[in-house]
Amino acid sequence: MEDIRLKGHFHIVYILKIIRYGLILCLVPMVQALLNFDLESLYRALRQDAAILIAMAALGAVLWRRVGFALTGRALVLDMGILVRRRVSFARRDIAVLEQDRPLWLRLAGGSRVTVYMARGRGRNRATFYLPRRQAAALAEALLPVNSEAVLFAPTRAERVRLTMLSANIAATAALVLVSLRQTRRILGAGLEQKLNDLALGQLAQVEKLLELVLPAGAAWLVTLVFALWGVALFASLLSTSGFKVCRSGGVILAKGGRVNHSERRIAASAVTACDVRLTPAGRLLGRRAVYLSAGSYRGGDIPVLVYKRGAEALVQALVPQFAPPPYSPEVLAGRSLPLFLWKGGAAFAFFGALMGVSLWKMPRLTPLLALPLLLCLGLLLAGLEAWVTEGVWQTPGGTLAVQYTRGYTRHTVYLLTADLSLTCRQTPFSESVGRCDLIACLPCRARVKARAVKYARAVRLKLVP
Amino acid sequence: MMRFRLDKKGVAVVCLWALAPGAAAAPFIFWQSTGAGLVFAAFWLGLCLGWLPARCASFEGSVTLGEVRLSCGLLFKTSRRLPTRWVSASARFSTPLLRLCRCCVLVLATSGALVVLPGISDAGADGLLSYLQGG
Repeated sequence: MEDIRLKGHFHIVYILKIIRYGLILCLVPMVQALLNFDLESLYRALRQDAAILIAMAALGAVLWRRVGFALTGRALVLDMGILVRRRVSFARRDIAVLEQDRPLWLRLAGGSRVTVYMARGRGRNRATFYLPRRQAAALAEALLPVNSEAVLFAPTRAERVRLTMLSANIAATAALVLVSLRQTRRILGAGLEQKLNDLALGQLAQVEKLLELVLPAGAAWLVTLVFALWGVALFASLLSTSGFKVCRSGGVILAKGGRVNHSERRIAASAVTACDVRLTPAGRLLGRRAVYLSAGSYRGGDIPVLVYKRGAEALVQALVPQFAPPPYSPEVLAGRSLPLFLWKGGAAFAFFGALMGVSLWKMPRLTPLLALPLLLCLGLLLAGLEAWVTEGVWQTPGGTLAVQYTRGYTRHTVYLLTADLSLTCRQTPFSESVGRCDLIACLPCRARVKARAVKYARAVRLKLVP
Repeated sequence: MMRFRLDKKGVAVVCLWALAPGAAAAPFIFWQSTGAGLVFAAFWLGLCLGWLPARCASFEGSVTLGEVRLSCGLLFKTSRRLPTRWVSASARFSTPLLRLCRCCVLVLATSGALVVLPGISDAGADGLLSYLQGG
């Protein structure tokens, strides 16, 4: 290996990977202690566990000296692995995205989690490793340099609120809350966790009592739960989008921000493969669209790089020069299957409608509680109806392909800015009889973009090679 | 423009592979009840000796205008297009039986997807690969 520009070890937190195996070994003395079930065996097991952990930490420290990275003129070389050592080499010209994450625990330890995404290739086209903060910054600067930070998007005041609301993901937050509740029980024990839960539920009960003044009892409880989850999601989003700004310097797009957890993404503008413009229900209310960029094996992350209002596509173009949105060309609706788009929302709506009917007849008290899911299903039904009208695919003479589709409540318009994709048409006997098909585009990040019931003749005519 | 299809002998070998999991599962189902075993055997034989050969026979491939075009299917039809320029890797597998039939399994990889051509003739695979490599 000649011409080494930068070289170093991974951050010491790497040895946690080795200690993790030690934790499994620690179970053996614990099982013995459980079988004997007396205090003396417990003390002995604890002493043995401590010895195992110290031995694993020492082994980790010795092995840690052998793992590291080196940056040469042509490639980034990573020496990884503990027992099975492997050397992975990434060509510098193929590096599409470099992401630095600094969650709170890593900030305290003075490290950064670095993830490198490649522009092409199937096998190992990404790598994650831990580096000391300064070294991670130096590596990022050497691989994807940012000379001048010409800020393109730095939301303040109302725009900041809009970005926060568009980045909040209530479904992900609900899952996270459930997981963290389970973790709390494991760490603190059921007794203490019960007290904390009672405390939290006590606060929520007060809000619920307030809402009960205007809403029936069951519905007030549901609305309180939804608003509590939404509040947590908004707070998480507020922290992660704090100080958020997007710059472009030469051929590199830089997006960074975050209050507690810092994050920085550097995207090579030439490697951008798709630009996903999402219109969520919150976006519809605020009149804003969120832009997610995908480059090579990088899928776009969970925070949009840009939020713009309709008609301000020039802002996206300033960020991604090759972005040239083709003029919208709607699908012909004759012969397009309506049940294909409405069955999910329709089935859910019919189910809750039937439940509501039964509750009106048998248990009128429950009726308001069922009104909220019924409203949500009505929204899904309307989104399906909109998808029936708007879902489709179109292309510019230059070759930029746009696929518009709706998933759940969100309308996606994906502009494919690369020729490195494959197109698949699927037909059932029913769709074949009306000359339609489902069109699926496979992107380099292994994402599949699917538009339902598009004209087969149109799908076949799409140019794949510009 | 170059056209290619799956070889009949190669498809027969692939059907033989598909029979193997059913043959392994059959004793356990016959153990439960003879009726269930007979139904399962009829279903699996129908799948491997009826549906699979027919689906493989419906396969058509061509290379034209910088694209590999593949289509197959009887009732549920699928057609696929991938640009030749972005086919990043290819792999060929063959077993003794496949070698006897002068066939192989060809796998083409692009950045986002894999295409598996089971039971293509060696000559067809050579022609396709030479076309993909610009020959």
